[in-house]
Amino acid sequence: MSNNAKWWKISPARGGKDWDDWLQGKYCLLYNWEEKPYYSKIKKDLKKNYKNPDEFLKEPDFKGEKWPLQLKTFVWDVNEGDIAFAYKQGEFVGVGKVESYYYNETKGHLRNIDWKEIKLNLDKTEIIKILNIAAAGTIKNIDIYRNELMKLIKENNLNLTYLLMENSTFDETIDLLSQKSQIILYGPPGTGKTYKAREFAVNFIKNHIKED
Amino acid sequence: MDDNLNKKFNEFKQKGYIEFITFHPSYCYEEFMEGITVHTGNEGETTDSVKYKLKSGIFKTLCKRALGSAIGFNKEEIETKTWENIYEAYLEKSKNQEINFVSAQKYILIIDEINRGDISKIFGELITLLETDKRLGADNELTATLPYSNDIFGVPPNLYIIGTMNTADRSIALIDVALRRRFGFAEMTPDFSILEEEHIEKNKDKLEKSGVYGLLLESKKALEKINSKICDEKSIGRDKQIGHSFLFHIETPSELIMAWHNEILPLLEEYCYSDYKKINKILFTKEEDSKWIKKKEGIVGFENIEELNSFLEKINALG
Repeated sequence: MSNNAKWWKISPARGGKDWDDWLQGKYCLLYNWEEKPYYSKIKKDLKKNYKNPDEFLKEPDFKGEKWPLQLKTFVWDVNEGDIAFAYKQGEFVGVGKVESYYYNETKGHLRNIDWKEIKLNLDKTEIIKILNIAAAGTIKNIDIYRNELMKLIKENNLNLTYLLMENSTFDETIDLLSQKSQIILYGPPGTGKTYKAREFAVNFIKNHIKED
Repeated sequence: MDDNLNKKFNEFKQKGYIEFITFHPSYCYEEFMEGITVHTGNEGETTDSVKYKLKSGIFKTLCKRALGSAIGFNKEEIETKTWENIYEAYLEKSKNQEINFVSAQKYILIIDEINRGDISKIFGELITLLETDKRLGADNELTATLPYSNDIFGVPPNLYIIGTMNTADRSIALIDVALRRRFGFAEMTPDFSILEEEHIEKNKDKLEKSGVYGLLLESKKALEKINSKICDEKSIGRDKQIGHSFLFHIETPSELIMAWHNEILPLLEEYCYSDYKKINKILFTKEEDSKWIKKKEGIVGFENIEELNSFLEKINALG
């Protein structure tokens, strides 16, 4: 899944006013884009993903000819498992993993995003520079800046390796563990099974941390 | 990352969130679930009386912690309580409200080499209780009475198990159906890009200095070649490839020679049941004796780094 994870810069208008809410609520919402064509297509696609698409498409009167390009991107090009960099007027506010398929509520177009490392106190100016270059637009693909960003993330010791790890087995295994409650990592000698078991355990608990 | 992981791992272990055990052929139910231990005097002393004591195994202890924390006890309270106390508290509490296991602290038991233990012997009746829909609070909640303590026991949903299994010992096709059904299986395959990124290229300066950088790259290439031949060879198969971690911590040429001589080639020897013709065929496509592997002498090994180099070159030169 995240083997082909794309990276996005997300910086909606309204001066990034709502970011704090989103980061806390772990979602991303695009609004004021009311044109809604391709409804049947979305619906068909939702059917593949959900048993009851209507639950997610509360407004059945999608009509219109044109879709804002960026909304199209948001709906069609962003995938579950992609990485989103939250950008708010010259500020780098967080990185998150897209966790849901696109869905629609009366307030707008939504995807759940699991935002991480929101309060970064480190020098992020270099990262900002890159995000600025990638800039303009609510949602932009920043795959071409990937290596540069990754380098900066490493240099600044931003602990995001787990999130940005390319290895898709990681997420899938964590998902499998949530689903089945017990898993077995199997493979030939020297494939790092014991190491991975420890790593999965640590990350699983870290993701669900509950402080006493 | 290594250090970080270790630190976190130890922290969680200390907090009681993670336990790590390794199964072996004499691992038993009594260690895992509960059993009776005999208390005698200290070593060398003679005693008149023998005391028997009921002892909870690691799994029961972890379940106790998980259930205890889900119903709101803190660590100290849990330590002082028995499973019975906590289970009663759980029953009491669940009469009035639904216990929220979803947001409860997660507990993980890591079982290394899970296939080396006799799984049905160790798990006993637990194997049924493990299923997600039979855990405490689930739709088909199921409990069992334990044989020694007569405790009523169920598995809380905030307890997770991660096992590891070496497929070279035993193919997963041969695993007990009961286990296959209840566990999720995730395959770990050799990943040489991780080796290259996380070790060879990351520590390039250091490795170049010690003169092992180029050889490691060649070794990596050779192992990939060998693995693809192993996969094609019906009598060996993909379950018995050679993993990347044999080369992971190597920093000097002599360590690399050791790895090939004492780890990688012996593994291949085992896979081929000491059929040296076959080993040569896998390595060099010909059954005849090579300089390094001979029918009569077995693995001859490498006297120096040049020899290892020509060995690797020869493997990599073949199509």
